Amino acid sequence: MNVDTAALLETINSCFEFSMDGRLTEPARDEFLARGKRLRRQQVELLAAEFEKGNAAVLDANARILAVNVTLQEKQEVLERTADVLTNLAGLAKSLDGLLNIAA
Amino acid sequence: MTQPLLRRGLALGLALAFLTACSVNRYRTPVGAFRDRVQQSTAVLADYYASRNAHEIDLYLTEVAADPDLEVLLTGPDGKPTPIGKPTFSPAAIRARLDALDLIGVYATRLASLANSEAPANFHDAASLLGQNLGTLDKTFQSLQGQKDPTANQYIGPVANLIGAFGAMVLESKRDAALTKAIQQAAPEVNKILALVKNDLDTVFQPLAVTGANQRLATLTTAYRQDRRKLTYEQRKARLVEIKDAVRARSSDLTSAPSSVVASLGAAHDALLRLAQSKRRPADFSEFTSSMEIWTSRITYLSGQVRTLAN
Repeated sequence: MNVDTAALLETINSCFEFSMDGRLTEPARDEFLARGKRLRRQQVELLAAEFEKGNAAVLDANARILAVNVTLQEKQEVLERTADVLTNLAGLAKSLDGLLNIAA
Repeated sequence: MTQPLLRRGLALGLALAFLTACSVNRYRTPVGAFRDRVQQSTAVLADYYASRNAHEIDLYLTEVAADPDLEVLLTGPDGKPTPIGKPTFSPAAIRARLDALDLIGVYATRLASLANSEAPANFHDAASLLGQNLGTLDKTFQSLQGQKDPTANQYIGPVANLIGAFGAMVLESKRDAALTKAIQQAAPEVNKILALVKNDLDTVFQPLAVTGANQRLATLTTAYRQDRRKLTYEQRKARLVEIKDAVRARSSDLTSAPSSVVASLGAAHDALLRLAQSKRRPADFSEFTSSMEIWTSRITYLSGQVRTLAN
């Protein structure tokens, strides 16, 4: 069973794009860059990781990735609720760290 | 009266000789071209694979250059190796995939040898034909299982079957029949191996190439934003040239180019198979010729891009 790496890829790319979006404050852009870098480090490890079929932690992580990714595609929402989006991204990274600890 | 007859006779003779030559050599040109493109594809994909770890090191050093608080380390503060401490992509896993492509190259070479020979000798057994490295490639993939290489196990079956197909390529008197049989027998395994290589490129190499290229651009633009007021005009120009290169490197054409080469190799092999199953009339060659043209242009494009990125 695998992590939804396609959705994760979109999430990471969105983080980098928002780090270069002049409508956001400079501190917010720095935060997006830092979140994107952390997620990419996890992407490198997740692409080589294997999990048992039906693993609850993987299902939970995939649901989180999907939810965060859906929000990131709504650019106006990101601009209006930047702090919440950054918090959700931090939560996602924490969840993926937990997942990597149990990877084969 | 005699001269026109002689001329007509000569023309008829030449036409017959040409038709005979076409008939004898009808496999030679397409199979030879297929072999050459397989070798070019393998060479350019080897360069691409080799560039991936270098790309990860470049990305890491870009991060270090952009942030004066970062040191250059083999192992990060989190205890995990950095790209200069351990290659991001396992060299053994990359080698095994290149060997799988080499196996298809050997297959294409054997087809070409067969197409170029009037009375081909029997092929040797698979082990002596392929050498130790390729002859035991299925074992290599077995050993990669469980070494953080989730797709290695999928290669074992098709690689073992293709190695087996070499052993079965014992030639009989009819060259065309032997070629058709060889292509038909190897086709399913060649397709499976190419699909696996393409899948690895699409799901492992390409995603990291895409996010790596975007991270590099984001890091460079952020560093420029933070430093720009302290930089001279010349320093700003130099930084902006770096940013321009980073923008170019994230183009989707570039990141998907290796996968396109493998897809074209597969399409050309499918066309070769259809050609083998046809009556091999001139019209039957046209599909094969167009698939070769597309493949050639993709090899040329990837070759140019890999060279540019390496500089």
